[in-house]
Amino acid sequence: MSSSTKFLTLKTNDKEEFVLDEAIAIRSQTIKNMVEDDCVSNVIPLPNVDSKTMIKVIEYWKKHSEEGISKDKLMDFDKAFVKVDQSILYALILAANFLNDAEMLDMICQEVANRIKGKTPEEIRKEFNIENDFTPEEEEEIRNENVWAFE
Amino acid sequence: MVRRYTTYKERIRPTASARRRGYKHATSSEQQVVEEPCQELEDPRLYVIQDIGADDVDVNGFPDGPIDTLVLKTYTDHVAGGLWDEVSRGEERDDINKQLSIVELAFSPLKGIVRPYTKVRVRPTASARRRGYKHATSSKQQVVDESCQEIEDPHQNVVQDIRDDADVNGFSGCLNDTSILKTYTDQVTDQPWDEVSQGEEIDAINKQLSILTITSSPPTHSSNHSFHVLPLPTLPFDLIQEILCRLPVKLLLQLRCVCKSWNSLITDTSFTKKHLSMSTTRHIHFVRYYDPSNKYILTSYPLHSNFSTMFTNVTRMEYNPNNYTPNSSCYIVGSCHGILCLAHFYDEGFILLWNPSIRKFKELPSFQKPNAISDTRMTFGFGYDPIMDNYKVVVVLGFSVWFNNGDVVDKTEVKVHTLGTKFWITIQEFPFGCIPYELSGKFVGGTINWLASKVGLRESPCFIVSLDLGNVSYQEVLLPEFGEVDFNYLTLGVLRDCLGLISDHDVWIMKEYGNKESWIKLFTVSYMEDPFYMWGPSKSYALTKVVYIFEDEQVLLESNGSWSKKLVVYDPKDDMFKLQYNCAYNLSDGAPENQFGVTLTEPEPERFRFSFGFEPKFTIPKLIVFNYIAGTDSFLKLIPSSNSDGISKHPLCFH
Repeated sequence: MSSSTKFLTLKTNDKEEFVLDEAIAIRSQTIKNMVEDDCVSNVIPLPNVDSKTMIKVIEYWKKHSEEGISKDKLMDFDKAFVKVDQSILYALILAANFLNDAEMLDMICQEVANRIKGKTPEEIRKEFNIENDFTPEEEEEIRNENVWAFE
Repeated sequence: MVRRYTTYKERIRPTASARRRGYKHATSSEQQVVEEPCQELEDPRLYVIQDIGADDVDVNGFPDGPIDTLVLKTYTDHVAGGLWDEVSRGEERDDINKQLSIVELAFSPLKGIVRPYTKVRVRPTASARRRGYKHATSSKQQVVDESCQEIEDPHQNVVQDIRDDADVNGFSGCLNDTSILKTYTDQVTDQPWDEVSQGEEIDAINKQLSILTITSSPPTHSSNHSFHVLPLPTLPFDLIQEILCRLPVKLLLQLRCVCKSWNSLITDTSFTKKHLSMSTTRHIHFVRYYDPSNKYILTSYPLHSNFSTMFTNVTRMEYNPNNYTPNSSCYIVGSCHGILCLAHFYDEGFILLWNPSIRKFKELPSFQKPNAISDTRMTFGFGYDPIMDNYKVVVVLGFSVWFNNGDVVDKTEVKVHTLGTKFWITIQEFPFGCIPYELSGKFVGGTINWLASKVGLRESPCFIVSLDLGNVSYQEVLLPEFGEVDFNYLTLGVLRDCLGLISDHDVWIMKEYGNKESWIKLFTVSYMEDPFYMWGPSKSYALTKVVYIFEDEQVLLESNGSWSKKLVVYDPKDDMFKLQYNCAYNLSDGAPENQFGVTLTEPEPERFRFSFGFEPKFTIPKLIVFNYIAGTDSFLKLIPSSNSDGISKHPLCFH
C-alpha cells in the first residue's frame, strides 16, 4: 500500500516534516528499503537527521534527479555543495551514511579527504578527536619505517 | 553488563588511551552502581534488558571489526519502522514492556555510570555539546511538566539517562554507525514512558516523549545549531575508513602514526585493497640502471594528457641492489597494482620488484637455467593471481637441445615464482610447440599473454598464448580477423585494461577477454615523420608504441624513432600529433644515451598493498618498451626477425 504512495513524508529529529516525491526520496537506500518492505505507514522518521541537514540533502537529491541536467552542471553543483563549514560537512556525512546514499557519501568523503591533504598527523588528531595512544618510541618506530614520507 | 564494557575496551581501541582510561573508570563505577539498582528493582525484566539493551545493542552496534553497517542500518530501519508504528498500539504491550525493561535496566542503573562515560568520551566534542544537552534536558523537563504532570523525577531521570546513553552510543569511540543506535534509543525511549506512566494519557505522553527524545538525542542536531562554537562530532570508524581510502599513499604512511587503530587500519590488507580499488591516478615510470654506480633510478610522473603540467610533478628515487651487480641495462617486464617488475637484458635471472608508491624493493631469488647448447632466451611475465591473492613472476626459457642423432631441437621450460616464497616452480612447458617471441608477456585479467609462433619466427602463423596464473593452464587466444597482416608488425599491449594488439598502425583491443568476436579496431595511428631519425628523416619509422589511451580518447605514444625517445600525445579524431616530450633527453643525466636502456612503463594506477613484509604499490602490467641497441645481436635471438635490413622497418616492434 505504501509502495504505491507517490509522496513520502520525512520527519527529522527536530519535528520538521518534509513531503517529498518518493522517486526522489528513494535515492536513500534506507528509505527505499523501508518502502519496499512496506514499513512505511505515513511518516518516515529520520531520528538522527536534523532539518537543516535534511534541507541540504533534499537540495542535493532534487538537483541530481533533474532530468537532462548536464554532467558539467552537476559537477559545478557538487563543488558548491561541499563548500560548507566542516561541521555541516560532518552532519552531511552522517546523514548520508544513515540514509545510505552511496553517491552522496562518496562525494562528501572525498571532500573530507581533500581537506585532510596537507595536514600533519597532529592536526588530523585534533580534527578527528583522536588521542595519540602511541608511546614516543612506538611513534618514532613507525616514522622511521617510512622516513621519506615525512620529508 | 560488565562484559559489555570489557568488550568496549577492546573495541574502542581507536579512540585512544585516554578514552580507554575513561572506560576503565566507567567500568568500575558501573559495576558498583549496577548492582545496587538491580537488586533494588528485582525486576525480571531487568535481565531481559541486559540481553537486549546492553549486549545486543552493543554487540550489533559496536563491533570493532569491519562490520557491514549496511546490514545494521537496514536492520535498524526495520526495527525502527516497526517500533515506531507500535508506539500507538496498545496490543503490543508485551513488546513494549520488554522494551521498557530494556530501558530501565540499561539506563537507569547506569545513571551514575553513563555520565562519566559521556564526559570522557565526548570530551573532545567538548563542553558545548554538553551544554547542548543541558539545554535539551531543561526544555524536556519543561514539556514534561506541562503536559504530563504525573510524570515525576524518576522518569525524567530515565529520559536523561537515555539521552546520555544515546550520546555514549553515538560517540562511542567512533566505532560504528551512530545512526543505528540513536534510532534504537529513540524508539526505546518511547515505550518506557508508556510503561512508566501506566496512565491513560499514554498517547499524549508518547507524543511528548518522542518529541523530547528526538530533539535531545542526536548530536548532529546540536552541532548544527552553532557551527562555529561546537566541536565536530567523532565520525564512526567505518566512515573514517571511507575517508582514508581516498588519500594518497604518502599521506597514509604519515597517518599511520596518528593512533594505533589508524595504524592497524592503514596496514590492513582489506584496506589496502580498498585503497587500490579507489585509486585513479596513473603514473608513468622511467627506470634506468646505472652501471658504474650500481643503482637504479626511477622517475615517475602522474599521467595527464597535458604534458605541460605532467612533467612538473616528478618523483625520483634510487635503489642499490644488495646482492648483485647487473652488467646490462634493465627493462620493465610489466607492472601490476603499482608494482614494477624489472629484469635485465643479459643478467639472466636477476629480477627485481619495485613498489614506487611505498618505496619498497625486493630482489627475487634466482632460478636455475637448463643445460643447453645455445644461449637461453628468456621472456618474463608478471601478474596477480586472484585465487592465491598473490603476485607471480613467470619466466619462459627457450633453448636448443642437441640430440645424439645430430638434430637440434628447440625446447622451452617455464618456471613460476610466487612472491614471498624462496623458489621457482617448474610448470608444464610452453604449449602448442611454440615459442613466445616478445620480451615479456602482458598481464590481463589474471592471465599472462604472449605472442607466439611455431618456430619462433614471426611470419609463421602467429597467435596468442595465455597462461592463467590461478590454475596454471595455457590457452590459445585467437587474433582478430584483420585479413592480411605482416606478423612482423604485431605487438601486444594492455589498453583500457583490455588486451590490446597493435598491427602495423592499427590499434585493436579485445573488449571481452577470450572472446574472439569482441576484438575491435579503435583507430589507426598516422605515420609520423621523425626528422631526427638516425638514418635521416623517415616517415614510417618514427612510430610508435601506444602506451596509453586517455579518457578523452587522446593517445599517448612512445616514439622510438631515433636515439631520442619521445612521448607524443596523439589525437586520433583529428589525426594530430599534439605534444611531444623528449624523455630520453630529460633522463639522460649526462649518461651516453646508447649505453643505458631507458624504460617506459605503462601508466599505472596508484596502488597500495602490504604483503610478506614487502609492500608494493601501484602499477598494472602493460607494454614494455625499451631501447634496442644496434649491434647487440644476442637480443636479436630473442626476437627472431626475418627482417634483413635490421630494425629500420619495425616501427612497432622492438628496436
